[in-house]
Amino acid sequence: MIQFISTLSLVEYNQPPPKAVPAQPGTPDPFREFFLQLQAHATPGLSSWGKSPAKGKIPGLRKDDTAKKQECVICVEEKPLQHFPKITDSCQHPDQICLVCVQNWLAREADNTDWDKIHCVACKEIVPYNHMKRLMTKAAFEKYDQYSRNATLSKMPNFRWCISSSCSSGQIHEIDTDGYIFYCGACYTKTCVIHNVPWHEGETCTEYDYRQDPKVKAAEERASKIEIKGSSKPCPGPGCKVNITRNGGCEHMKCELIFELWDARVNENADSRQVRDVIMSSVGSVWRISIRFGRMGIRSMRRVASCTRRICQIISIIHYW
Amino acid sequence: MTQKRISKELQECLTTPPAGIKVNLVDEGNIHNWNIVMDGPADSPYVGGKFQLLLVLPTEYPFKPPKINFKTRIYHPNVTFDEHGSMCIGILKSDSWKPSSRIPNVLTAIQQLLLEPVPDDAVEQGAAQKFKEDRKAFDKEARDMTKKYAK
Ligand SMILES: [Zn+2]
Ligand SMILES: [Zn+2]
Ligand SMILES: [Zn+2]
Ligand SMILES: [Zn+2]
Ligand SMILES: [Zn+2]
Repeated sequence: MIQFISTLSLVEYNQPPPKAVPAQPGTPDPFREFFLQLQAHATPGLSSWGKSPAKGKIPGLRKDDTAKKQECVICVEEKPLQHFPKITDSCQHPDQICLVCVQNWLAREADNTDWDKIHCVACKEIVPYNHMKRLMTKAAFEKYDQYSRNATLSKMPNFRWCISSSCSSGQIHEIDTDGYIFYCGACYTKTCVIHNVPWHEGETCTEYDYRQDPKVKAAEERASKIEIKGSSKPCPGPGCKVNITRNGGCEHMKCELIFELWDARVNENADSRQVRDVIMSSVGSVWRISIRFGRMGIRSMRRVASCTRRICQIISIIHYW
Repeated sequence: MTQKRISKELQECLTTPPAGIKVNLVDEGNIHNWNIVMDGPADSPYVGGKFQLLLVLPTEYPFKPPKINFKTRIYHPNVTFDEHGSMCIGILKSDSWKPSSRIPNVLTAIQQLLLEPVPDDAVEQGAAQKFKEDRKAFDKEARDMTKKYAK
């Protein structure tokens, strides 16, 4: 039951539900875990004055003799000693800057500096998250908290922001499992993750490419010709009935339902075109895997590090069960 | 908050300015622009000169450092020899500026710079080279320029 499909075909298929933030209760949520880790990391070293203040106390302030006053070296206001917080655990200087000035400074820095590089107003000690929380005004902290969360998320692999300008949501999107359409869990906007544009409805990525640039079509038609000359073989994987079509290259190829592609480069004879995408899609019981050649290089696919041989030109696979 | 701090610093600089320095406002209605007159320090080739500087306090002061320029031309490795008289000194660089630093600290740092140029951090390369290679020639040039511009 072999059937060739065009090298370049991409069919829309049943897409698994997007992993939106926050996850449903009970399901493991990589964001939350990551974030909890982050917070847990920040907690050690918190000294007693750094703990959440008791009700009625001014946050961030020390409980010293309230009668004594000193002048703030920044705003030159005379204030009771308790208005002069210690800023970080490692600050070596006396506490001569009042909470209002510290708050002004931190709010300014939060707007202008990476959330994890904000330093004390009087020295170069970095102010950690928990102390930012203790010192900042509630509103400023909320903003900072948002910055820090966004920065943390952006660093996670496969995290994407929704491209809608009116939406501030984002989620993990793995092309391997989630496909090419990014469904925003918050605003339901569909984005093409290959082109990073609103999803081109009624058009595959290939068709979209053609419309954008006719040269792509010519290059890919050349790639298809290579395919036709190729031969097909059953997958060497035990118990697997999938047929793999290829034309030359090493034997180092097998299919699993999770497709593994070794160092996925077309061999040098083939114009050094690069494999652009491996597309796994299912229509009913048919799995369709196709590989596209293109200029953009390899995107998000599984690789097995053990094989360094350049791969054979895999063209297309259809799997019936 | 900025206003109170600036007024206080101005008051201090008007009543007890650092030695060899006079301060007044460029315009009485605006406490952000200060006019500074600095005597060329003794033991420097600038002695006898009176140097005018313009000090501008940004609205974010003291979180941002003041800006200072020489209005009087000065031949010095760390001050541009042009109508801008720009300089780049440690205390005024935004990453080393401390909001608790005071204007008198800044002014004395500039006096110190006149006494001890920092040729490795120069903005005026010709002057820096001369300073390093031929100190006598540098001093003479600086004295001549002081006579010419800073009388
Ligand atoms: Zn500090
Ligand atoms: Zn203050
Ligand atoms: Zn969205
Ligand atoms: Zn697309
Ligand atoms: Zn197989």
